[in-house]
Amino acid sequence: MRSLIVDDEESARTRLRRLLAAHPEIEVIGEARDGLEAVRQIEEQKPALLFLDIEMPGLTGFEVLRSVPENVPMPLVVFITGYDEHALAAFEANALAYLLKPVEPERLAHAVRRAQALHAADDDPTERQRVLKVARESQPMLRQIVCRKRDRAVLLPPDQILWFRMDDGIVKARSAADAFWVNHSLSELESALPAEMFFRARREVLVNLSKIKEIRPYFKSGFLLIMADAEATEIAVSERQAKVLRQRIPGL
Amino acid sequence: MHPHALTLGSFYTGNLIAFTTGVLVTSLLLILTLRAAKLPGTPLSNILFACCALCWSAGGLARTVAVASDISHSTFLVRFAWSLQYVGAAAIPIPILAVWSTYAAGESRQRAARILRAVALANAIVVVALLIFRSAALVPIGIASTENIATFSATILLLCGVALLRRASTPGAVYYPSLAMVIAAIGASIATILRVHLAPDAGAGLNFLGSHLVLLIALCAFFLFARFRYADVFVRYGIRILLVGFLTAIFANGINGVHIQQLANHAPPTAFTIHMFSLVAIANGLLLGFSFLDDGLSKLVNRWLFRPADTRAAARELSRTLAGLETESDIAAAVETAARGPLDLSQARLVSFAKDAAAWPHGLVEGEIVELSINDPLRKSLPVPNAEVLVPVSSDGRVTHLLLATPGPSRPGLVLHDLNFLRMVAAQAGNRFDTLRREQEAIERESREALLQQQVTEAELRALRAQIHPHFLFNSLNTIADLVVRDPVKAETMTLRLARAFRHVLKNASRSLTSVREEMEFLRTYLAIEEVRFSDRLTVEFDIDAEVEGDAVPSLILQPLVENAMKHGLGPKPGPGTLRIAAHAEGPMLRLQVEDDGMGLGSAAASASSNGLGVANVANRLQTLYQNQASVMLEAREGGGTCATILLPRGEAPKHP
Repeated sequence: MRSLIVDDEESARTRLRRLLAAHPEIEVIGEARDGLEAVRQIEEQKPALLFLDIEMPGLTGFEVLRSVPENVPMPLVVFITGYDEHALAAFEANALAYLLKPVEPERLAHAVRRAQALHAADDDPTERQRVLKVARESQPMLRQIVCRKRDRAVLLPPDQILWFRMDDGIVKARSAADAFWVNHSLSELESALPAEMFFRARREVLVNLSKIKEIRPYFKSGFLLIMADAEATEIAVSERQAKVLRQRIPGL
Repeated sequence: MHPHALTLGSFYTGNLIAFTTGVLVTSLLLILTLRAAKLPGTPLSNILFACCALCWSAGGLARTVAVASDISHSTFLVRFAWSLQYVGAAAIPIPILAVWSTYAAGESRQRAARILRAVALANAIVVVALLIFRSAALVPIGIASTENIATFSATILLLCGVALLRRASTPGAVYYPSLAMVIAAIGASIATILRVHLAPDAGAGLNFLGSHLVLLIALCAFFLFARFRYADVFVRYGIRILLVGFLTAIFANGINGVHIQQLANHAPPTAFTIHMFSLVAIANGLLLGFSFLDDGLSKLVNRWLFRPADTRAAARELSRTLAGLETESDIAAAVETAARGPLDLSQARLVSFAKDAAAWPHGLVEGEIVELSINDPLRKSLPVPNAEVLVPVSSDGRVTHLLLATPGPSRPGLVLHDLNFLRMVAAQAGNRFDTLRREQEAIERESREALLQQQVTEAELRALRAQIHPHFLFNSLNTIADLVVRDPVKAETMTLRLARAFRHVLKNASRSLTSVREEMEFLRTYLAIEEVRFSDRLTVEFDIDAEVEGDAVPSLILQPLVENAMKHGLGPKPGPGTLRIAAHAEGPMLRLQVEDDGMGLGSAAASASSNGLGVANVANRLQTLYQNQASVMLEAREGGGTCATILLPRGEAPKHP
């Protein structure tokens, strides 16, 4: 089984690698030292199994899972955590595999057996759904957004993104200087980003309210948002959302 | 001219008036003393006195009526009445002496009082015997003689009795009325002598004053010192009766003076005299009765015309009910029921009152009752149809509710009495609202205080819990597990450091303050472990003033800030990072700083609620320990990274063993 180890501590990675040496059926194809690297490796190597630490600099383990593109097969996941009561409760409730640090060889063997069984059952999609569900519930808010451009990916905090726009089935993010695409759907972004910061101007646009330069009246009871980017991009607010915006901003 | 008829007529008229007055007063007195006898502390002598006085007045009245009706002196009725009158007169000293004897001071006076009472009793018995014997014609004594004996002996007894009283040892309220009474008695004796012996014809019109009104004065005087429960009632009515009797006497004399004199010039018609007497007697009775009627009449008029509802029971019931009610709707229901009941209102509703509507009549806001006319536009806007009376309910110093009332068919117009009742109901409701509000405020205050206390405790607990995240322990153990195989010496060092760090945590869990030196020692250990975990990506610098090393700091206060710096500042930063920890004196304050050259405030503030939580915990602990004298601040550092600063007042660290 092609496996990827994701942990920010070198000693943790080397120890897990050493423990996995007792399981020849597991082939460790790589290591990732942080979340972003993990996302990139998942996309490139498409591992079947992930040993995923939750608390990491940059992206957390949960955010890594949420950032995996839909066209990339979601690997089976064995979560690794030092101490996280809430996450443990979620894993237990959803019967997901997890390991506690320091990792015990017996428990690792158990997790490996379970992963192999699931793998043999050939891509049980419900397992993947469960993993994503737990990831969403355990950490509802995205603290960082994985933004991609050609072959590179960068992490941007949400407050640096001016707007997200759905374009030809791809969600694009716009920062002050650059444009990216992201792996999240607009509705997922809307629910996972601070509601006081982001506003759904139209069905296909999510706008950062703190990055609006100007609001102009537009046709009957509509609005036109002038954004704070270099081109002063104009974004029209749909008639239905204009009412919501009026409630959000008193005196508009 | 017929001088005899005139004299006789005047004499009878005067007696008639005086005795009628006397009978009324003494009857009233007897009724009241008998009533009071049921209560403790009423002397028996009061009743005896009333009996004697009634005997005198009733006997006198009966005799006068009989004589005026030309019934012979020798008939049994007249003789009986006459005897009754003088038995009363002879017995009167007995109760008076009994009252006085309680004030007689000293052994000798006490004995004298006892002797006097015995003499008075004997005197009364002698008089009674004389009267009986005379009636039976056994003793050849005239009526006038018996009269004299009774009057004079009574006067002498009273004179002796009052001599028992000493000004010094007797209260003024007893002494002076007693003197007045004796003087009145002497006056009565003189009047009797004058009437019977000296001048039977002279001044007959005022004769009754001597013999009867003196008695009445004595009555009132008696009750000034022999107090009993209804004394005030008696004095009030007694004075009324006396006044009316006096007026009647003047009126009767007026009639005598003008008309009877003229008629009497021609003939002495006995029948006419009788007619005249009865006329005077009726007028007399009417006048006397009026004093009682007037009171009863006003009550009757009130009852028949206005039928005032009996609101007292309803008011009592309401105040009892209200005391047990807790909610506004319950109070409103009770008030509505109470208002509706006795007044037969068709509607009563308690509504809350908002001052903002300008349509309210001015007086209402000031707390006055307002009555709405039929065409008042306000009627339509009220929740009760045809509400006629608006009673404001005041609580908390302003009008908060309105009691709306619609009169029912049985009492279409509410009179003053009814409005007063509604006002009283409204006042009770207002009072209850006030009390309720005070109770609720007290409860809220208590719960607020309890909540505050709980929050403080929780903040402290949270602060303690957050000092070392369990994550740190397990990650360290994980590292050790790896090092044991790869680098046993390093593993050993790591284990020892971990032990030292946790010893510090355990030691300081139970105390709030430690020294800067100890705190820095702990941070060195803690960061040495982290350095291993970060695989030498981390450089740590300490900059501690020697003079502050002994200063007190809240134990583990910097650890959350260091953890923040590691997790959010240096952790996400690719490549090596530097952490700088400083402690400096700044006047009376101690400045502690944790600086990193990591990702900076922007990403930290945007990303982490846990970051905010760490700083908030530190702020809570500082607030608990130093109130407003300490502060914690998180700011962006020049050239990237974050700087957390704690300022707290300097103080020496407590010495711990």
